[in-house]
Amino acid sequence: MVCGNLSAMASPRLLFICGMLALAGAAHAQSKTPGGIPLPPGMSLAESAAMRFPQPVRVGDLIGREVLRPVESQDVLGRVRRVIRDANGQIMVVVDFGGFLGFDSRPIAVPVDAMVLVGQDMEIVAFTPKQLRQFPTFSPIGTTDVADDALIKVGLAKPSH
Amino acid sequence: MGGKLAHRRSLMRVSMRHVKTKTLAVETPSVRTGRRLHPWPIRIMHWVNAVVMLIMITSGWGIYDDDVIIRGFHFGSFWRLGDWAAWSLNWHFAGMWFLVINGVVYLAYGFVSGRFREKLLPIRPTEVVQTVIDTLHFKIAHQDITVYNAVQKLLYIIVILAGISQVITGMAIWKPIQFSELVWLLGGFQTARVLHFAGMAVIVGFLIVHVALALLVPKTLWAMIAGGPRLKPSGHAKQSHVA
Amino acid sequence: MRSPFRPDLPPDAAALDDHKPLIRSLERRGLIRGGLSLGALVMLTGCDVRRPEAVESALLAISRFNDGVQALLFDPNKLAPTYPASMILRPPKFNAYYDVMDVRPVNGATWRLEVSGLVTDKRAWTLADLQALPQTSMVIKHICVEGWSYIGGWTGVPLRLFLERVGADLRAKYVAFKTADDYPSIIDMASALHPQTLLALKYGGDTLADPFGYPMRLRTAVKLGYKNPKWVTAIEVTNKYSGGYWESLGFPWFAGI
Repeated sequence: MVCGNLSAMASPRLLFICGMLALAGAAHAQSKTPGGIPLPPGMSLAESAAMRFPQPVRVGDLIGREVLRPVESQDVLGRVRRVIRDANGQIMVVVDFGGFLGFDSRPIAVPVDAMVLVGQDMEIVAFTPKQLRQFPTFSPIGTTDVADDALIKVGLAKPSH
Repeated sequence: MGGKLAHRRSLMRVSMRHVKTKTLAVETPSVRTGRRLHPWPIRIMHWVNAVVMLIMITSGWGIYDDDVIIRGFHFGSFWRLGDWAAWSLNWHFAGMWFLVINGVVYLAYGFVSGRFREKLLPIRPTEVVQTVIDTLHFKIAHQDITVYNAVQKLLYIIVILAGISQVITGMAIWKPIQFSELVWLLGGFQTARVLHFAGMAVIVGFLIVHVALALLVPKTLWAMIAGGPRLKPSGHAKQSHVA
Repeated sequence: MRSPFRPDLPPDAAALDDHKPLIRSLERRGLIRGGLSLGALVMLTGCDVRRPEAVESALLAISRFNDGVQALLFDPNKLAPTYPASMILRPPKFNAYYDVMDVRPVNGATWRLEVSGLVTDKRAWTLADLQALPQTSMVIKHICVEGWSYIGGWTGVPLRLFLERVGADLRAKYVAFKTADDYPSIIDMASALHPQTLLALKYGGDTLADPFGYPMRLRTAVKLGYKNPKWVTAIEVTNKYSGGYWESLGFPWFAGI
């Protein structure tokens, strides 16, 4: 009789579930560090950006770029929607922030001095994801778009890992 | 006596017309001779491959973490072989030789000895479907471990192909200029990386299923250590084993 | 089972600043610190990994064997694929063993390229001297050992031409580089003579700017990114292997692609 195998029937299910959970657990393994290098006390965003050898980059080349968290797992924080000047003339990058695979994101305006170019992507280095979640949803009132062909200066960082 | 007979008949997969009832109860001298399910070269190559494959996978995870392919997903230090990138690379580029040499010898053995033809072919689609249904109902009783069911055959062929694919995509990543034509065939350097990662995922998926099932049917694990049942020339288990 | 070499928390940033020079010198002795995730390997094989030096030696020996294999696989006539200038990434991707804030620019007016070793002309070169030599341009793919890549465009003096000008012994084994950022590098002569190995002075048609290695960096299409030193200050033609920054931390030497 094959009754010896009856007791084995419960285990395969358990084993498969455990296997899947282990995989899922690993898959959820985003970096635990908050990401970003907090500014030394007393330093402004502009000063920190100036230390990063800001490079001229064409605004049109930034649109659509992924915005990453500066950690090993390179979490996607959002995508660059456009570049604007706010009411004070500061250059801000409007990022479609949060959500999942583009769904349910909201635009936030991040000062360009808080961001860096890393190859074909950008990173937000001066704010943690937790801080970014507190940013107000972007409103275009009082802002002007920066043209695609304009060149703006953005600081650099080495790759995160 | 009738109960025992019915028991043995129900366990055998060979057609009834090949069974001589009288011989069932007699232990023939030929039982102690004849090749085993897993000859010793197969066993050695299997376990070498098991260790080397785990080295390649975990060192590969270390290399992956150095520039993740799936943004938001990394393995983390526990899962990596190699404290950091340099050592993951060294493990990977060392293990690759053992993987390839062992793999080539295994493939040669499998073809030349006829083992692949005997154990992995033919695969009939209807059998595959039926075995999948059986497995989902957890009917994974495996009395005669010398004959692979259709899903087993398919999975073993898939993992062999995935291993070969890993070597090909690995070579493209390792020498993308010297093997630039290969890179072009694969769709570019970054695509080759994605394919290499995907092949790993297939192999890891196979591993989880393979190890789980081997632990559930421990005589298969023992067979890969001690050799398993002796076979008739047909490749099926000798009847007296199924006692 | 965490590696004993990895701290549980990242160090305080301020402390890191104070100890950077010490940390750099420790990293250079990184062979002892490198090694294994002990947990994983012990579980796999039960082998004794309490002596990581033995395992590391074996791995490094195989790495040197691989260098030989790579040298055999290297075809000096095979050109790396090139791309249209429109695909040049501007600005290029920055990388170094330190972050961008620590880049120390070089004064181009006072910069000299020292030449030594198996050469007949050991005069130093100014930037203007180099710029007067014939230049060639190429748009190629930079591939980093980390896995990322980008397309960049460099213009400069073919290293082969430069070596011929200084009367280098082209049968020597190595061409070694020193840099302003303490990043020694050394490549095989065959790769040095490859037509797509340049002493690069320009990126994307413009003067090579910082933090990308002004005034001159090595740019070869047939090696991984880390074999392309920036802010080069000296070239030596030699038969003696003098080591490289990442090689001393366990990375392979030949690093051909």
